[in-house]
Amino acid sequence: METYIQEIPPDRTLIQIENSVAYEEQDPAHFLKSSLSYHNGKFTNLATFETLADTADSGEFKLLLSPAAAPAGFTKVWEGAMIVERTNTMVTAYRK
Amino acid sequence: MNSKITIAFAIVFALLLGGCSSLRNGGAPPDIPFDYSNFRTLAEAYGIDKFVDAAKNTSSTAVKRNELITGRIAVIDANFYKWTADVRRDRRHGDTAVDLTLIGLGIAGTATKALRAKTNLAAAVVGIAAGKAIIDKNYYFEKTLPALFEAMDASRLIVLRKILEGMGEDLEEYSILQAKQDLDTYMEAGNFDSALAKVGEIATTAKANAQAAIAVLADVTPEDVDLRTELRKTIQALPEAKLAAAQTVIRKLAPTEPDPKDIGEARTALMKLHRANRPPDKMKTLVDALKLAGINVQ
Repeated sequence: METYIQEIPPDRTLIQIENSVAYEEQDPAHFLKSSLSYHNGKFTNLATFETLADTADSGEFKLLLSPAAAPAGFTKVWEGAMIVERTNTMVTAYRK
Repeated sequence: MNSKITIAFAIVFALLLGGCSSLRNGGAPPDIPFDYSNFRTLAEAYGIDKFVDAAKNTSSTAVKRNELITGRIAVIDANFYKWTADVRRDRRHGDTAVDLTLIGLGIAGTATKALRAKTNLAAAVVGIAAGKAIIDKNYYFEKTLPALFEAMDASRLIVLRKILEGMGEDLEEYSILQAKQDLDTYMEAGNFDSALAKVGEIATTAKANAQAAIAVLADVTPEDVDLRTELRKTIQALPEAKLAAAQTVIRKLAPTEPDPKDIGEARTALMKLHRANRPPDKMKTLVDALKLAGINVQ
């Protein structure tokens, strides 16, 4: 499976980011990680995704502020810094 | 006394290996003999002044121009290959000589029992290794030498192609002075400045391509996420009975795609459409087309 990078603008709220990633994962794909990067003249989030087979179920995605307990049935897939509403924020990604 | 014997042993060992014929050219085959007195004659016969003279002479022909070009290319190429061979051989000689000295000193350091000699030899090893690092960094751009030669070859080939095409033209289309200008560019393409510029150009293009490939994730509502999830699941679980309906949608939205022969092919084609229609408004167009054909997205 191949990986690719997509930008998540730094002004989005946590819910907006969660929705954007969950929407992208329906390709189907899996969110792997996000990095703070300077891209196109601004500091932003560059998220890495991995493509999945046409028949794969990408599951359900959640993004919470760290530290946070894993929601029931979800597994932690990544934890790190993202720019959320223009603020450097520690977040944790979960998937079910 | 022991330390003197050990150092002498190390030097003799290094020199013996250095005299080995397989290492004489730094591990490269011996040079093809080249008569550089002949090269000087050739360089004079096809010098820049000869182009200027021919350009001034109104009776010059395309044949004369091509003769000058061919001779000048031979001069430039001979000079270039001599220079690249020298640079490569210098590099290999440097590596081989330093490595052999290090091996010699290293063995001597292991063999001797005298603590003082061991310390001196260890210091010599460190000193020589550090010196080699400095030479590499300053003169050979670390490990970039092969890449720089690749860049030079690429630049030279681009200009050479233009010159060879020009040789097929008549004198009005490709003048002697234009040929001279191109040959100057051809010669300049074979230097480090040109190679670095080429590497920089490649890096800039690669960066621009990489940036263009990064799209911004769509800003969507929870309803959009739910609908796209259902769309994916519907396509993945499409039953055999819906093949005709799927074919209708594919013919409408992807007319250049071949008609799917079975439900597996239909699912693959629809997943392709699903990915291509990622923005929410386009996704809704796909959902509507499926509904119209009788495939309900729950």
